[in-house]
Amino acid sequence: MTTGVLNMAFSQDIQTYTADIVDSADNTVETIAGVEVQLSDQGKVVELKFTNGVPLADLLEGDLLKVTFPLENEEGTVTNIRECDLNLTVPWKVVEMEPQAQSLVLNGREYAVDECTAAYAIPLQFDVFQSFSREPDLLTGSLYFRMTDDSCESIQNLPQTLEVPAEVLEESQINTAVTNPEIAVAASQNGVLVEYTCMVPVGLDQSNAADGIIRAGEG
Amino acid sequence: MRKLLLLLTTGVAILVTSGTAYGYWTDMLEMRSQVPLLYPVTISVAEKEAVSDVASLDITDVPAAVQQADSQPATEEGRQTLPMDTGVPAIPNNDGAGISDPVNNNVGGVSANEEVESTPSGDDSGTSASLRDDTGGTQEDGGTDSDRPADNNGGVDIVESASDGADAAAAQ
Repeated sequence: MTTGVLNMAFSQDIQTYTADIVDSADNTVETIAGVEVQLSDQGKVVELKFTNGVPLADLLEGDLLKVTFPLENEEGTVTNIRECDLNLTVPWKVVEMEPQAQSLVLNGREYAVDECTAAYAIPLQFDVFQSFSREPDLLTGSLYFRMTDDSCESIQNLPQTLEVPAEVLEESQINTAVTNPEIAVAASQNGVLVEYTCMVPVGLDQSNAADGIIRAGEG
Repeated sequence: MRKLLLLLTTGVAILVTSGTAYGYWTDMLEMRSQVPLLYPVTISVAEKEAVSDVASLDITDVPAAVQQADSQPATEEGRQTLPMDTGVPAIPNNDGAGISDPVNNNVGGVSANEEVESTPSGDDSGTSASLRDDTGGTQEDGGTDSDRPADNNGGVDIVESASDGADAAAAQ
């Protein structure tokens, strides 16, 4: 029983992608700047790079990282997706962020000191929630990342102090400025910078309701 | 007949339900994220002065001596090298004369010499003792220690405190 094709994709309008820190009521706490967006696989895959990092303290306090993205219909006969509001009771997925690299940030400089910073390269788990909304000519999706309690506890158990031999620092400086200067400058903090990656599926459902979009030849 | 009708009805219902389910479309996209997180950490840099501090105690040869003492039991050779390291003349009879040496404050060298003799098991006591500026206890015990037998406990006590002192000096 073939009734149509649902073929959605991420929008090519990358300027409209946003990232925020929100509380559990979906109120924006902080807007995250410096998010690079790159599309691939005919808009089926989007890669986000948070060049300025994500404020860790907010995540530890229970706030969520929210990524909002516009959607487009790619030659599908089914043009409407089912709306759903944010529901924090049941996660859509639980994803694991894997550490890829870590470095030491000290006085605005970055050092590749793997032997000293390896303890901080711990995987983190996030509950992921999604919501979708549709307005005439605009389909929008959002993913919410909430750090699990176990991951929060793991972070809080990380060593708070680190002693590094001076000669090791001299040998391991990788940049005169950190790769992500905003992180160190904005936070004015020394610490261990861990780069995480994760992959999250975005599930879209067809909606049987009228989408309200007025197309050529209609209305 | 009724059973056959019931089966047919059930079959049709299942087909309709399945058709409806398959007609309900879903699509799956994928989001990949690269997220740097900065863990705030208090970072202290261990400067190279830690080595020069030890050197300032004029016991630069001690690390080698420590290794030697760790790996080998105290021998006649060890007895000879310790006073050389500390600058204190060898005192075979342990009369404590070197303890009051005003030139070299590392009078532990004397007690080290005692320890080498009193601890034939060859722990690092003798060498470590030379690191410690433990003039107090040694000076007080100096004369007494010389009267004690070779396995006196007092010497062992000095070894422990001297080792701690060595560690502290190295940590600086």
